[in-house]
Amino acid sequence: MSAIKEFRRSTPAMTAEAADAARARLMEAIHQPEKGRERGATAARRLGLRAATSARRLGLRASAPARRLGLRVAVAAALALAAGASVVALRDDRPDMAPVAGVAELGERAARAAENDPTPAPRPTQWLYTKELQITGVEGDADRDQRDTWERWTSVDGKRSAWYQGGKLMFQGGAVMDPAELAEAPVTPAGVIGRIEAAVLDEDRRGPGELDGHVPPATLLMEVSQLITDQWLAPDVRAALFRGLPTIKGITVTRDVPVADGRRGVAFSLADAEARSYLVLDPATFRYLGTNSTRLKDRTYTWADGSKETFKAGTTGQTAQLEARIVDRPGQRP
Amino acid sequence: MSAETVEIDDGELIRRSAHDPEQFAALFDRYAKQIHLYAARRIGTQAADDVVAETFLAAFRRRGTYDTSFALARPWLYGIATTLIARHRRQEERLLRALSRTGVDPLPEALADAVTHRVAAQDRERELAGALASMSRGDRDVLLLVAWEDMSYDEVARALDIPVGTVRSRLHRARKKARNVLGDEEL
Repeated sequence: MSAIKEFRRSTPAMTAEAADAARARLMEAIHQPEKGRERGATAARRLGLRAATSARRLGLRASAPARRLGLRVAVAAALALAAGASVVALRDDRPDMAPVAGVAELGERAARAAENDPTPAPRPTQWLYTKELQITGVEGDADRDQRDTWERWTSVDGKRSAWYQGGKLMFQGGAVMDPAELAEAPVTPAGVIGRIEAAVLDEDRRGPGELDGHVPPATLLMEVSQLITDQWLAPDVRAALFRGLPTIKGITVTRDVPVADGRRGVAFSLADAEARSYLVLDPATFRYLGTNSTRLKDRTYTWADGSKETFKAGTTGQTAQLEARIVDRPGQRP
Repeated sequence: MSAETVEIDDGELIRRSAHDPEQFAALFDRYAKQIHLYAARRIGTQAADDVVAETFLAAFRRRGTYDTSFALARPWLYGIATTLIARHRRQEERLLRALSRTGVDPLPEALADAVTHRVAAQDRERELAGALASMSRGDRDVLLLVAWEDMSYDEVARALDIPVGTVRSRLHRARKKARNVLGDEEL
């Protein structure tokens, strides 16, 4: 057995930061009954959409920053309109807003804005810092809203992410979707959507096996939202994602959709039996503003540990991107 | 952690953690590093970071099902980790095939800001990687738990929740495959 015993024996030991992060997650789970769950996680959980990637892969219940993707995906995707469809009135009276005729045009305008972004490309060793305001609540009951500011750092290569927890910088491995893979030529709208579908299906085959070879449009929208929200992407990839969105079945355009900080924008929207979700862009610049979603149906999940959790219809969530800047190091604020 | 908790066995610790959950943290301190090394040798250090965190979360939540008459929780924890590693099977096999093909091991991973020297693998190592990649996951699980982690057949059976006879047959198959590339003297 000596050859096998020696095989990769020099693999580096667990870093102190990884050990701290893993232990902190365990301690958080241990202390949950006493102190309640971390607010951000609660927010995500209350929306009750299972994360498409990380959380699903882990098959574990959402627990805060630990579930980076879970949190962000759930908030971004479960998202729904706080006051319901009636608030999404069409308001074409803003002079600065040339009306978008249809979802294809929205995709095209957003793509051009991405292509014309003058920001220089970051170095591979840099990080994208994002700061997001998150609100979750229950339709028609504003007092129950929970507000949370969530800062995170995602490496430009997509391999790591970081956040502060209890004053310490925690790290986690990267997302399922490799940005370098999305950037491989040729970059086309159908191509990038296809690569995301393939990654989701691959993940599903290894994990929950729920998809039966078909990625639901809502899951696809979640994945795209997640990439657009906090992964740095080359302009052509970002543009291809925006041009690809209108090709996802059921996606339409909705105007005047609010995000968490009160701004309003024009949105890619999708409603299915479970939830109504919006990915909201600035109506003038077509830059990303935030997300908005509402759960439409009660849903009970059985988690990996056998426990069950029910998410109520009418739970709503909004996010707003307050900042998105390239920095040199994780933990560094612009 | 009190001095007492380092003396009591894992089973007793898990039993106490039913009413005093903090006791469970001692298990992390006992096993996290070795489980990380095991996972990192298979799927890389970054994926191993997640596997370790998830292993202890899952173990904590399932602690009520642990048979506390077993003094050592090590096989139980390795079993959970191995299940989580299974989700990275494609990645694991891709890395092994890359080593087998090119002689350059994609693992250990470089730190972002460190210069890593990667030494071309010896022929034997390349062939072994190819053999490991071509085994079924179940056979590989058994082989690596025995070879790397020095587990007994009973412990492997408990870790993977399979009969001891199955451990023997899987190990036999895995060794045969490895022997084909390494020669008899290695096994």
